Amino acid sequence: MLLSESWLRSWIDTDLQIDEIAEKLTLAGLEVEGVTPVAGFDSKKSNSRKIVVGRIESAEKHPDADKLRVCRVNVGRKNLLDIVCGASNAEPGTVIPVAMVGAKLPKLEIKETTIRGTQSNGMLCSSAELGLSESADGLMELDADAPLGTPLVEYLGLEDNVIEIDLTPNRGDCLCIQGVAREISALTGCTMSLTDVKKVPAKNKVSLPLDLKAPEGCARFVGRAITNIDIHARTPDWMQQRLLRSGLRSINPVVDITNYVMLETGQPMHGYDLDKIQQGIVVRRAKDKEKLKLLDGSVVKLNRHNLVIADHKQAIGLAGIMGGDSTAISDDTVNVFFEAAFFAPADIIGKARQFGMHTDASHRFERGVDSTGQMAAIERATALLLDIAGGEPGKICHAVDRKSLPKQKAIIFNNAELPRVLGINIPASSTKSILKKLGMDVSGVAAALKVTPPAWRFDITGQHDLVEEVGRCYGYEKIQPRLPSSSARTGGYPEIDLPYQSLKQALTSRGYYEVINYSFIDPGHQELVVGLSGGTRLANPLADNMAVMRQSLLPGLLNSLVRNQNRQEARIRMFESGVVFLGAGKKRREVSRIGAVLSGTAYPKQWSVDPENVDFYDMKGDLEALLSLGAAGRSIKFRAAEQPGLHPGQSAQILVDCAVIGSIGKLHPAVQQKLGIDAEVFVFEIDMINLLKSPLPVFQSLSRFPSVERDLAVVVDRDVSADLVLETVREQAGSDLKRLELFDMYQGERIENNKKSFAFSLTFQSESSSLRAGDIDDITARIITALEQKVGAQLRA
Amino acid sequence: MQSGNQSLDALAVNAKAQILATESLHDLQSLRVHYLGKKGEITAQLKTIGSLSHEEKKSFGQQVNQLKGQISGWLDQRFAELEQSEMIAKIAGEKIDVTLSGRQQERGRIHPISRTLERMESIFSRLGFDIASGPEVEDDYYNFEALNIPADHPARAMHDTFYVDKHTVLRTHTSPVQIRYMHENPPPVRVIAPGKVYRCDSDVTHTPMFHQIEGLAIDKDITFADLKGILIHFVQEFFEEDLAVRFRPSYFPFTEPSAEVDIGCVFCSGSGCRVCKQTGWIEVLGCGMVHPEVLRHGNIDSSEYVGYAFGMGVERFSMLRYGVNDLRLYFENDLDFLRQF
Repeated sequence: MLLSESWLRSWIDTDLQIDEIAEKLTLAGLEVEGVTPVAGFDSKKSNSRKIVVGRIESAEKHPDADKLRVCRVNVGRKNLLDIVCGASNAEPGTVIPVAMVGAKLPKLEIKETTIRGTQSNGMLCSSAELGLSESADGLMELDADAPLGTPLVEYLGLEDNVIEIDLTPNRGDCLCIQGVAREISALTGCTMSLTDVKKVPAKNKVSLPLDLKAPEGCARFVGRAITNIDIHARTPDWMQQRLLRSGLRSINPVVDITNYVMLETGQPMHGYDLDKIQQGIVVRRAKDKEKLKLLDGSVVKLNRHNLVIADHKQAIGLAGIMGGDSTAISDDTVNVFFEAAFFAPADIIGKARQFGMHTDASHRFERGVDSTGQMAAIERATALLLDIAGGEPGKICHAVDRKSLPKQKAIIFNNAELPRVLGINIPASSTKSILKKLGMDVSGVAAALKVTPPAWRFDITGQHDLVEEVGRCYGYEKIQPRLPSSSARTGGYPEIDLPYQSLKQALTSRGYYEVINYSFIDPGHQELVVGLSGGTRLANPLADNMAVMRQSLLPGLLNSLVRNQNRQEARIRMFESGVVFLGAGKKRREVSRIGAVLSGTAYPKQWSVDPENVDFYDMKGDLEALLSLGAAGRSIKFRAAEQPGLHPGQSAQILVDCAVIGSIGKLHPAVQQKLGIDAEVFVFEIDMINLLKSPLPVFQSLSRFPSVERDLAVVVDRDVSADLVLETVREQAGSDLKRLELFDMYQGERIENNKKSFAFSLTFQSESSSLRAGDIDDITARIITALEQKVGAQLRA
Repeated sequence: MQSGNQSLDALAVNAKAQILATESLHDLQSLRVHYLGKKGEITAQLKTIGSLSHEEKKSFGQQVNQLKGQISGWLDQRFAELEQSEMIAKIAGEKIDVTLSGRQQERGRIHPISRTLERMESIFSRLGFDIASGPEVEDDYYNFEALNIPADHPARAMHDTFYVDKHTVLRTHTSPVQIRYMHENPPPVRVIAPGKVYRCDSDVTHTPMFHQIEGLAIDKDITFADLKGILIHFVQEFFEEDLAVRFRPSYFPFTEPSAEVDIGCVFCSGSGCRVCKQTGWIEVLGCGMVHPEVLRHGNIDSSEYVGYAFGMGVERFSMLRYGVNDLRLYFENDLDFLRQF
């Protein structure tokens, strides 16, 4: 919210500087986001006084330029100033700001100058040129009776600041000058200027019948007709300035006054063209599908939950949100009808949003407007309108349903809540005094203070609200921080729990970078990469390519890979850990995964290693390093299996203790091509949940006997897996086999087609004796026989 | 006799000269064979002994043996010399350029968000907080209702929510974990919940996904003073600086009293700069005493227990800590960015 410092000061009596006021407000919960000087030039410097009020006495066409005029300008001195001006509204009689020679505007300094041969002794200014607004249409016109020659700084009160307050939703009562003034008064003890509202007696009997048909939504409606106004009257500069500094532009006197009263008192108002209202005002529920054209030209389709202001023919306003088009104030309006009503917050909340709207009125009604302030607002608006646009006030129309007005319920407050919740001791007398300053009615004793909040505080309903009020007025800074005592229990965790960080570190130490991708991805991309459709879809995605929740980490990882490839990174190793969203509806579950992509050379380019591209076994080695941590001591198997998106001959499922935990493989060349990836890519993705336990070590005694090593080489069919061969060896080798290492695999011209050879070394060691050569020979023979029978192996010479 | 002695002397002179002039171990071995071998000079000399008298035999034999010892000594001496110089030569030949780089595998990095999260978690762990987590696709009830944000509450406008269906959202904050944790853990409670959160907002300073850490403590004797103590300790330890910390009253539906926490600007030490918008303060987190309504949703008696809660943006802390000036970099995953952490 924006408000003018000088307007605010007109409501309070304080010597505090603006930065002190800002600090007080901020530390009491009304965060002051900025204090900005109103003028775009330095209003404190003496040359600012060279910008004065002037009047164009005559304006003649420039002899040498079609679009320029030579104006003779009266700035309250004997001599008129000749000033060349190009503005279309530089008409005789117009009162405007004049920057005289020596004045300094935000973007230029005024000097005597000659424009196309004619001397110009100053400049006639627009509001934008003065830095008073962002943009402007022509010269800034001032009141016709503005005192000529008066420095503009003085005349418009430009030594002012705009205070920007970021109000929290609970403090609707501070959405006006009066509210902020009240708050400052409570915080500093300064007095508020007395603002007794002047009652304006009726001059005639013009009125409208009011009918509150939905009192739970509108419990009070105050209206007043004012006839014979001059809608073309000019809103005076002082009011235009206050509106402008609050972020509102002047439109016409009626609209300006309703806005002004709202900014001042917090009571939103509306002005109707009285002659367009059919017979009377009815506040009622809309009919389903009833249509209403609003002031902004939009047509809304209503339902029976919406509250409307209607006449006897049709809806003429969306209650508390925006007026209707049919009764809008226009250039022809002569008679107006002001509305100041109380709409219950519950009835307005969400309604503006239902139509994609947000207005100054809905913003205030949603948060709560003082239900006792309508009469004063009408009186204030009447007085202002009579001053500005003349007219005759009718009698005040007032409809109220008292039982539907909000009741200020007394709260019983135990002063001991303050030490219990805030950790501070404040005597009940101080509590009372703080609450009273905030406008609350307080009586009773410390353990049971009876506190009734004022009608403008919709946010105070229980003890906890009062704790907050006392706390923030007392000052959070005065609450002494307390550190946890050493006896606080500290979180411990079992030794077998593997911190997930250790899995990440295993990958970073092997050259992988961790990435974080958005959880919502492109459904088409996901289908292409991992063959998954459906899943959890967002109802309101930011974009089509962020529309579904990921069911795999790979689409995101591959996106990151492509991005980096496009940034000329050739060697890419990246991983991500995070949840994927499987299933949908009631069957949706979130599963923690870790996934990785690998592409480029196995080692960075360097003098000591030949540059070779990675293959399946590089990726598998990295994954095995991970599993050696997270699945230590458990059975780990890689089973050849075709996976969507992966190369059918180079992909596998990973099984830990016989359960599939993920997959690994080479990205399918077709997918790789579609994604525009230059090099082969290898990927894996596994569930993390079962990888965060690592068994406690169990000590075994060390053997004192020597070990014996034997090498074997066998030839098998190409489709016989290494796993099968090694398993067969292990079955036969007995318990003295300490190590089994497959150290060579060969397929090629030196052996038959469709064959491959494996060479492995076996290391035997007994815990109880020295092994004899004969024993080892027997075991080796058994192994060879088994290999021949089970996998059709031939011993290689 | 004379001739014998003379030839021994000559042999000695020659042998000494030859041996000490030898330049390789191989030649030295040949000389050893030449002089001391079975068919060598010494043996040849000994073979002449038969023609000598008994007296001469004894003396000549002694002289030959002495010479043998001498030659053997020269050989050993030269051997040691050559061996040493060969070692020196070998070592000299093996000199390498130690400035050439070692055999490299690139070192990857943990993402800066993870790095920041880990630091935050470790500080809170040492303060006795457990770590909990909750679902990212969340029921409206946990994300809003149970946190005292009923439908159409103005505070919902502050959360630009992604919806899956009418009752299911992407959590807009980590606060729903508060309720889930309370449902499963009786007080006293002291827990943090880090994780991803989502808001339907994307511009220079907002990404539709970001990270938060939620904190919750509930006990019989917890007050706002404890909340201040914990959070001041946290930010000062996180930034390793005795930063000024300010608690500014604010509003959240799920805490009351509520506060926003500002720290003295880490870039200008509070004197005012672009980052802190000349205020000297940077807002870093929101906190407050758990609202009685939230405790009620957590099945905790608010007349017996008091709690505090806080929530903070991980990206914010990370950006301040490392001086990152563009939030979006965190999710673009450029290796050039990631390598910096």
